[in-house]
Amino acid sequence: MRRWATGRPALSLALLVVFEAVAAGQGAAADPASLVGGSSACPTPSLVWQHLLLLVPEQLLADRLAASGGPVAPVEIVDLGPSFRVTAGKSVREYQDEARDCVRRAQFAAVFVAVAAGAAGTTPGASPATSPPATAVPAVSAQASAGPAPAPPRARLDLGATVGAAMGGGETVLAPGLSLRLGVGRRRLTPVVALTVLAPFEAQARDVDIRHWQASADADVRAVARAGSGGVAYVELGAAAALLWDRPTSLAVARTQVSFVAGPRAAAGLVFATRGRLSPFLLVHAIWFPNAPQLFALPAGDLGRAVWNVGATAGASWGLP
Amino acid sequence: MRGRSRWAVAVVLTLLLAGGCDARKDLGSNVLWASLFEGGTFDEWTSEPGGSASAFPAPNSIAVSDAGAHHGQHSALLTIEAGPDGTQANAGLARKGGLPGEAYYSAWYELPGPVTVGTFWVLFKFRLRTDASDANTEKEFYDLGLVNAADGSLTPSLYDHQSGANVPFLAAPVVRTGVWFQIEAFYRNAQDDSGRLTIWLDGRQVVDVNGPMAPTPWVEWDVVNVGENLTPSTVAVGIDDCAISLSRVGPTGIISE
Repeated sequence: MRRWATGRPALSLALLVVFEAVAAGQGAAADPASLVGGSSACPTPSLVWQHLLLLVPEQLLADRLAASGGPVAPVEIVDLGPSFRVTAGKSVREYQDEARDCVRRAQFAAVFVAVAAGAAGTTPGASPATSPPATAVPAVSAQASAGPAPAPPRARLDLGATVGAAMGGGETVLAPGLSLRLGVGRRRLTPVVALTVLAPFEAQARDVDIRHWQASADADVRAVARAGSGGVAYVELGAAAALLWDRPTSLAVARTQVSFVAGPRAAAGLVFATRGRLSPFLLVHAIWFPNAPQLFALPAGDLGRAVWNVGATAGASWGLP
Repeated sequence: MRGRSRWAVAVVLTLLLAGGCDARKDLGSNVLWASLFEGGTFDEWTSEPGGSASAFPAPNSIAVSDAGAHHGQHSALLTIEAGPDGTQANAGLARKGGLPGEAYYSAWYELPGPVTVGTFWVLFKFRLRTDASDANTEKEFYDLGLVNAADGSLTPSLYDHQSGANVPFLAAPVVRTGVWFQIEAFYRNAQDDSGRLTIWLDGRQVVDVNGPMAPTPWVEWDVVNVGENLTPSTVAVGIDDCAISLSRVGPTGIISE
């Protein structure tokens, strides 16, 4: 596991001292938001901008970056949790930093941007900083070597085939279904909402045949656990609510019952990296319905309570730009 | 923002709590009919077409008792005076006609104490009609009763009136006195080889007969205390929780809410 090196503080300090005066003496201010963008929380684009100003004269920086960019900000910072990615024009680099030292990240991002923009050499003191310390710069990711990485999607829409099983209420039967999930945001923690519908299925509880149907909705927080060139692993925690429909098919007097249940939900998933907007994903989940109804019939008596709901979903995840 | 978070937490908590509003869901029943005697009468039997509750000749009697019950407060007490005079003593509850082609018939019994069976002692019966629409064609069919084993204990016995022979038992359990025990039968009154009579005693299968049953679909089921030449001659049998069901009741089954 690569981590930020803690060495060479003197070099950084020297760079800061040398260029502080230059930066402070700049004239008309450029718009930082139009030059350094991204939703990164650590480091923030503004913090990177501040460190850039310590390295390169603002006007020169603005000219170089504007020349290399298009309609969007030419520099983009993306926080990937244990790592972050810096895009400067066509140059992309991803750094590991599990300690999440945001100031340190901003320093290295600034150095990388300055080098990529070709502006670092314009001042005498910039030269030593044109490349981050050897111990501090991890290998460029495969994605970065291959060329510019696409910006992470602003939202993800997942549509998948799902199988679910209610456990604890008699026979456990896997039921097929469909699941639609929407996660919004580029941050490490993003809100997710979902709808899942299972096809009707037959199960037996104490010799009573019951036809079940279930539709559920859940709201969760998705946390990126690990992001790499192979894809993104994440976990979700939240709450789910479900509508259960139970109709006995082997009782002389049959009453269809509809129940509403709710409970906490946990899931873990993988979105596999692809070059396009569509990526395959796999998700497993468990929901605990502590107050699931006790099904009852005569003469069998209590038929059990389906307290646990587990399932897996596989499908396509569409990254919305 | 903080207000929105509070709102979200409130919604989640509401959902979690609301999920427990319906703790029990009644899906229905396979119990077609049941008699608990909790009303203190025999109406559950006599109000049904073809139902009856009777004892004959005197001094045999039937009564609803609150002295003990399998469940609840009341049970039926069928008392017979079956002396050695060769007279058949009868006390019984019956359901005649209108019964399904196949069903489970269940009743709970309590015997007062050890009994020596001189001629016969019957507790559970099926009868038939050779012409379903003619009451004059009713005949005896299967009699499930008790006999004494070699050690004097009571053990079940099934007599087939049509063949005039006892039906072999799969097991010969001892029937205890002073405790409630269950007799349950699955009776498929088919006139072809799909016919079947299976009997459980306290959940243990003791009889399984396959083949043609009665000549017509007409069924009579009797929960009785019928005997002749019993010692002691006065025998009061407790009856409770009788049911006709499309699925097996078993010793732990619930026949009424």
